[in-house]
Amino acid sequence: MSIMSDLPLLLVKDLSVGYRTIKGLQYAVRDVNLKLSKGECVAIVGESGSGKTTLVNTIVGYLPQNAFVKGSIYMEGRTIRSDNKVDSDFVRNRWKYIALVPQASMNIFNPVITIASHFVDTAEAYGVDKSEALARARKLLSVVKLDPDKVLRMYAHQLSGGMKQRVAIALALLLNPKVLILDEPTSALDAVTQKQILDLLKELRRIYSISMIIVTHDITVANYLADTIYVMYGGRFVEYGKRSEIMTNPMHPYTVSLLGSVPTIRSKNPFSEFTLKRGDVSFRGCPLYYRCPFAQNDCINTVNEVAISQTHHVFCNHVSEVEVTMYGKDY
Amino acid sequence: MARIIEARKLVVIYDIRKGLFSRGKVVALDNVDFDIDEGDSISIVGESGSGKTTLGKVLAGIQPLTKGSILFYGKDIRELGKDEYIKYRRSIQYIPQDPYSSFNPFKSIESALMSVVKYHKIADRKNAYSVISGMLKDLQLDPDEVLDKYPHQLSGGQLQRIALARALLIRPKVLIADEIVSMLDASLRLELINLLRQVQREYGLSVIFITHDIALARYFASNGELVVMHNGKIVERGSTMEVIENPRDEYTKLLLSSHLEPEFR
Repeated sequence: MSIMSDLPLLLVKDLSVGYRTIKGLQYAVRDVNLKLSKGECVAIVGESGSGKTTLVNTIVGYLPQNAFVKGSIYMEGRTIRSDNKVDSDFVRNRWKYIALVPQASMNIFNPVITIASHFVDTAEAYGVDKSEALARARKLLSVVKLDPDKVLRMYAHQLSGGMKQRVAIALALLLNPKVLILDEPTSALDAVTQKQILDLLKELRRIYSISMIIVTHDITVANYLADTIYVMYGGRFVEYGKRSEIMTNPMHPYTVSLLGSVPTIRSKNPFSEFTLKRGDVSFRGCPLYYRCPFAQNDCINTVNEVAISQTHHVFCNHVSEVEVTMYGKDY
Repeated sequence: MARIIEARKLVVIYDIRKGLFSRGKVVALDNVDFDIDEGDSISIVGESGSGKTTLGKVLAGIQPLTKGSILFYGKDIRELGKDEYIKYRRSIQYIPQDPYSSFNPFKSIESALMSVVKYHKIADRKNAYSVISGMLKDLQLDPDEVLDKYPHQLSGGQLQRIALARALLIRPKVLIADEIVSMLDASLRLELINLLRQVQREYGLSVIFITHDIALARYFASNGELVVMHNGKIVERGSTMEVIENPRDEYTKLLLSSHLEPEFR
């Protein structure tokens, strides 16, 4: 039993995902390792094209026909994916293991059926009958602070953006998944609604200790919610660590530039002076090779994983130079 | 400083369809007063539906008013003669949020910019190319790289800078930048705002920066003014630092408390 509980809830090992296109195999995610413990909230932060959506779609198993996968994904020690093979029990019961709230969750609803039908249809697909589904839907909708009597009878177009996002979260929780993945949960919402949704997610974590993966381009969202932050660039993780390690002591030049580009209202941004030059992603070695002021010839071939602490890892060959420049020699 | 625009009691009401037969009305602007002086830096912040885009379009003369008046250098725009009206429209340039839909997808960047130069008679045939490439260089773009491209071949950041170039070619006095950074990645946003501030200084422009992000609003107009809009009304207006430090309106307070301030320590 003790061995069981030590197993991470979700483990992604040496995962690469490519798409077969007319230009050949194009990798969107390369050599990614990720661990999610029970009750933990992991944030994957990256800009557009960094591969973050492909990564979570691979975890859930929603990939187009032309995708090519290498590597494995384990859930509580059980293999749910090995290269292109996905465990059949996982496919059948996917929503019970992992629920995904996709990026365009504003548009996931069927416009011609009521919200209640969305819950019933999803539940029936997994063998839960109608009355049970509606009972669960009522409970979940009140958990996400909506009025079930009103919302269940409504159609998607009658809901505001924030309400749709709440319904999408309730729908994701319908089969009590072990992991909840949210892809850009607040990118289409205004600041006030964004805060309300993030506070709701915080509360879900506090009360139900739901394990979550949040995908976001906004590092302040990650900072607000996550225990662990993974920073992604050009299909690779460039740095990961505890929230405070990433926010206060970023070691990868890309993370520093990402933090430096956050506009602040009251505090001063200590990283705002550091900017990267424009350039393409390098597909060999370090993805930041063409943009990084610290890059040297060795960066084009390999990149080493350096442990700053047990939890804080950075993929950079020249960590000590970064450290001297960013934090001074005495650091 | 001369006053370029003096807008009084602006009201815009949109007719909308509610269902199949019934019609409703939406008050997008509700008795808004707004002035633009030479050299102003003003950020307008508000959530979607607050009327900020409508206000920007009304000031630029591309959205008809339901009620109210706009004075351009003291003269009502409805009483301007033809030449004066053209001067007004040229003086106030509006840059929309999505550059991919504001450029004709079938026209190369060169022909898109060339048609602006021709239409507004900015330069003759011989000098047109050098005027355009000079402007692109001012916006840190390489003319050889972008001129023969089509909009879909360029990144959002590049295209948004070309949209800036297109507006600046006309030598406006006021730029109204409506959410011009919201489509861009975080690391490019501050870069584009810095560039906007740079061209503002170089060309002596007034810039109205419309955004939903109060931190970006603050960043752009740190020495200017901040205008907060909610439900078609201006709920607060003042120097940016004053509004951020001593917000008076409840909505401004809510907006500030909803901002996710990063914790760097």
